[in-house]
Amino acid sequence: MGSATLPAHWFQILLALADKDLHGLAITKEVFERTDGHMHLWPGKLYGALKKMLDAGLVIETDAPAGFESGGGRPRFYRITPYGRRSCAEEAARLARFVDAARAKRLIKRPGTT
Amino acid sequence: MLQPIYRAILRLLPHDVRVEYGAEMEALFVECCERERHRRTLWGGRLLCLKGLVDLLSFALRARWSQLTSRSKSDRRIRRDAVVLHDIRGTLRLMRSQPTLSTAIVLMLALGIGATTAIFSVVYGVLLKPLPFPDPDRIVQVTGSLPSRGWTSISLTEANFWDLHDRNRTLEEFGILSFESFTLTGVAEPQRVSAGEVTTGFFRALGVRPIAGRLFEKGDDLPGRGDRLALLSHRFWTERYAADGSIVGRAITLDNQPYSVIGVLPPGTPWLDIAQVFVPFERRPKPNRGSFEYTGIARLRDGVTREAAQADLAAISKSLESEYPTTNAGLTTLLEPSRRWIATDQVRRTLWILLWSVGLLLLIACLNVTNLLLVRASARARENAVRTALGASRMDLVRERLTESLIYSVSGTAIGWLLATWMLRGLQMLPAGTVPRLSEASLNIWVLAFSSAAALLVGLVTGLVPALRTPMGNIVSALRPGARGSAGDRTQTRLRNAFVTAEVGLALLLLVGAGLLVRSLIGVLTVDRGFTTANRLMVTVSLPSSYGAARLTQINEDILARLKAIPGMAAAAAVNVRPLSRGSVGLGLAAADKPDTPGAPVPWATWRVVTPDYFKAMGLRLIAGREFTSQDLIAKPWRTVISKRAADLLWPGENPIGKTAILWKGQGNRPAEIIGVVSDMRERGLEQDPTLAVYFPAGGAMDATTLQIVMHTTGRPEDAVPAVRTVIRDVDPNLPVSNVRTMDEIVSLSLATRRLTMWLLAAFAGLALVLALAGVYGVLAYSVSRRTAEIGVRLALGAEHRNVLRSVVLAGMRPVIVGAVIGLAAAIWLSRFMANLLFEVRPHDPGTYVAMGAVVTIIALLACYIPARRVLRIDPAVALRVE
Repeated sequence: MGSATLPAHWFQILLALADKDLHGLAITKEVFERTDGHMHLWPGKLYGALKKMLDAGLVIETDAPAGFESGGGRPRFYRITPYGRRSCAEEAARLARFVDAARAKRLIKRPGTT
Repeated sequence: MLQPIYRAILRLLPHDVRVEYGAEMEALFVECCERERHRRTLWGGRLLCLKGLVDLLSFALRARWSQLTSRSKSDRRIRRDAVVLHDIRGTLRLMRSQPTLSTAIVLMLALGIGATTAIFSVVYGVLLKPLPFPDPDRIVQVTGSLPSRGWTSISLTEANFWDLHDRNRTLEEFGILSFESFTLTGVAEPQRVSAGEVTTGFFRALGVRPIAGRLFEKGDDLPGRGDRLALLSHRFWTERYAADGSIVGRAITLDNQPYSVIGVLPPGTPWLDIAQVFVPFERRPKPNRGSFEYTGIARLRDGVTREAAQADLAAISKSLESEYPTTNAGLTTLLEPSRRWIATDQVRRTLWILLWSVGLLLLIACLNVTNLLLVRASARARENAVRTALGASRMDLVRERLTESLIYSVSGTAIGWLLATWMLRGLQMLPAGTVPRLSEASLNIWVLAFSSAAALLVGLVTGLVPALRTPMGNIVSALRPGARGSAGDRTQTRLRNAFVTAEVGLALLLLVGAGLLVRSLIGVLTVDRGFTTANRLMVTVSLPSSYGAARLTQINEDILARLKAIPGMAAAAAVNVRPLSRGSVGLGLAAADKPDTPGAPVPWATWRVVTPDYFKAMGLRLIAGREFTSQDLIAKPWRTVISKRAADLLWPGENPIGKTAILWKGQGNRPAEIIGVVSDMRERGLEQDPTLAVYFPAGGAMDATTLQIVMHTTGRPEDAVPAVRTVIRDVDPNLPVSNVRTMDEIVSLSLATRRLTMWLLAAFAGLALVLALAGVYGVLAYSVSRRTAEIGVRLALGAEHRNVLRSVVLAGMRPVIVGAVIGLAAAIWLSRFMANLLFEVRPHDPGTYVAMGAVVTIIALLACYIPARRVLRIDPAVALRVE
C-alpha cells in the first residue's frame, strides 16, 4: 500500500475502527451515519474490502467481546493494526491538505471563525 | 421476499468465502434492507435492496476472478472459465460505457420477459396445474343430455342418479351435489351460509381426505337418522372458526337445527370451495324424476376407459327411457373429463390468445434488441478486424457476442421477474372470479423454468444474428479508412429493414386484436339491455323455512311495503331469481291456437315470479296489455306477461293480448292467458341473446324463503342501503341481508373478465407499437447518420433539401408499409381464432383494420420524420469533411 491513496470506503472503514473494535454491521452503520447516508456499504462491498484489507495487513480479526450476541450468532470483530492506523492517518493528512487549500482560497471558513 | 433470493445468490461465492462470510453477509443484508425500508418510500427501498443484490453479484465475480488468477494456469478447465470471465468482464465494461443503450436493451427484455412470465403464471394456474385430486384422469363429471331440446349438458335428476348409481358396473364411486343455503345462528351476527347437499360418494369420487375429522360415510345419507351432520369447507373453517380444530365434534345451528360438525375439507378448487358447509343428501324412498338439479361426479374403476363407462351409462339411460317414457324420453347421459372444470372453453381461448400476444410482444422486443446489437457490432467492425488480424479466431468473436447477449437476457430476466411479481399482484387485486384459480397463481418452479428457457432462447437468438454477421471476410477493406457502403453494409441494412417489417407487422396484429376487443366491449356496454342499471339496488333477504307459510308471506309483504315507503324510493319489487345470476328455471312454450310442428324443438323460456312493481323497478317497458296488479294471483287462473321476443315468436305480426299460450309444453301443458308484453331483457348476461321470458304474478306465492329485492331509487342507490337495512331489521332482526349491490356493480362484475382481457391486450399492443416505432426510428436514425457524407455530396451537387428529406422518409417508410400490409393480412387470417371472444363485431371488421393500419402508418411517419429532419441541418461542407 505505502503512500498510494486509499479507496474512499477503505478510509472510512479504518476511520470507523480507529477508536474501537467493531463488527460488520456496526462498521456499516457508523460509515453510513458519518457520511450522512452517502456511503452505503452493502455486504459484498464491505466484506470484499475487509478481506483485502486483512490481506494487506491494515486490519486483523479479533474475537467478539465476551457476552456479545447478535442475530447471526457471534459475529467477527475487526481491529485496526498499527500499519492500518498509519495509512489512515496519512490519508487523513492528505485530505486535510486539500481542505487547507480550500480555506486558503476562501472557499470555506476556518473553524472557530464565524 | 428478497432474503431467499439473496441466500441463493450467495452460492455464487467461492466455497471458502461463503463459509467464512455467508451468514454474516445475509444478516447484514437483512439489516440494510430494513433500514432502507424505513428511510424511503416502498419503491425506493425496493430499488435499494436490488442494489444489494447487484453488490453481491459483483463481489462474487471479483472473488471468483481473484481465485482464478491465483491458481495454476495449466488447468485447462480453469483457463476456459477464465476466458468466459474475461468475456463477461468485457461485456460489463461495454455496458458501463454505453449506459443508455444497455439500459434500453435490458428494459425492453425485462418488459417482454416480465409480461410473458406473469401471463404464463396465470396460464399455468388455470390450464396446466393439476387438479387437487388424486388420479384426476379417472374423475368425470356426469351430466344429462337432451338432444331433442338442444341441451348438451344438463344436471341429473335425483331418480336418474340413483338408477345410474345402482346399475352401473364401471364406476368406482359416484355422487351428486345440489345447492342449499342455511341461516347460521347461535353466533354473534346471523349469517347466510351456502351449503352443498352431497351423497356419500361425492367426496369419495374426488378422492379427497379431510384435514380434520372424517368425511360422510355410507349410512350417513340414510333417512331417519337421529342426528344431523355437517362438513366445513376449509375457507369457512379458517374465516369463521379461526381454523380451530376443536370445532370437530361440536354442534352448529343451521336454520334453527343443530348439526354436528364431523370434519373439515382440505382447501382447493373446484368443488371443495363451492359451498361453505356440506350436509348429507338423504336417499328418499320416492326420488323426484322431473327436476334437473344435481351435479354428478364419478370416479372410474381402475382400468376402465371413459368411453367404456360412457357406453355403460348410455345403455342404462336407454333402458330408463323405456321404463319411464314420460320423463326420460330422449334423455341420455354424458361423461366429461375433469380437466374442463377449471376453465370454460372461452377462458381457455382467452388465455391462450393472451399468452400468444405477450409472446409476440417478447418477439418484438427481441427483434429490437437484435437490431441494437447489430448496430453496435457493425460500429465495432474495425476493432474486430484488428483483432482478427492479430490472431483472434472467429470462435472468439462469436463467443463474445453470445456472452454479451446472454448477459443482457439474464439481467432482463432478473428485472423481468420482479416486474412479473408486481404484475401478478396487480392482477390478483381484481374481483374474485375474474379468472379462475387466480389467487393460487404464483411464480412457481414451472413458471420460472418456462421463463428461464425463454430467456435463454432470447439470449441465443438476439446474440446469434450479430455474431454470425460479424464481418470476417475482408479484413483489409474493413480496416481501410472510411470503409462505407460495402456489400456487407448493404445486406445488413436489408436485414435491419426486415426486422422493422416484422416488428410493424406483429405490432399491427396485436393492435387489430386489441381494437376488436375494444369494439366488442363498447358493443356490450351499449347493447340494448332491456333493463336499466342506473339508480338500481339489489339485495337478498333470507328467511328461515321454519317460520311457516303464513308468517313468511306476512314478513315478505311487510318488507316490500316498508321499503316502498322509504323516502326517495321510486319502486321496490321482488323476483324469485336474481337477474344476471346465470341460475335459471325454464319451461316449454307454445301457442294454443297454432298446430304443433312434429319434430320441431319446443321453444324454451325462463320463468320468473314477480311482484307488481317488478317491471318498473327493473326499467322494463310495457309494450302491450297491462302489468300485474296486487289482485293477480299465480295460477288462479294462469295469467302471464311475456317478453317481446316470446310474443313475436308465438304470434308473429298478431296482437298477443288475450291469446292463450301453452306453458310447460310437453310436461304439464297448462294453458295461460297473455295479459301483457314487456321489453326483452338480457337476463343471462349482457352478452347472451335476450331470453324468452314468461312472468307470473307473485300474488299467492309470497311465502318464499329467499327474497330477491330490486329497488329503483331517485338518488344514489348506495345512499339507500342503511335505510334498507334498518327496514329489514325492524321487520325481523334475525334475517340476514346479503348480496347488497347496485345494478351497475352487478353489470360491471359480469364484464370483469372481458374488461381485463381487453385492457391486457390493449396494453400489450400499445407496448408493441412503442417498441416497433422505436425500431423504425432507430434504423432510420442510424442510416441517416451513416449516409451523412453521401447526402452531403448530393446537396453539394444541387439537390434540394426538401427532395432529399422526402427520399429519406420514403426509405424509412418502405419497411413500415410492407410490414403493415403483412400484419393486416396475418390479422385477417388469425382473427378467426378470436371470433368467439367478440361481441357484435365480425373478426374481419373493416373499420378496425383500416383504423389500426392508419394509426400505425401515421405514427410511423412521425417516427421517420424526426430522424429524417436531421438531413435539413446537414451542411455539405462539414459533411464532406467527415470522410
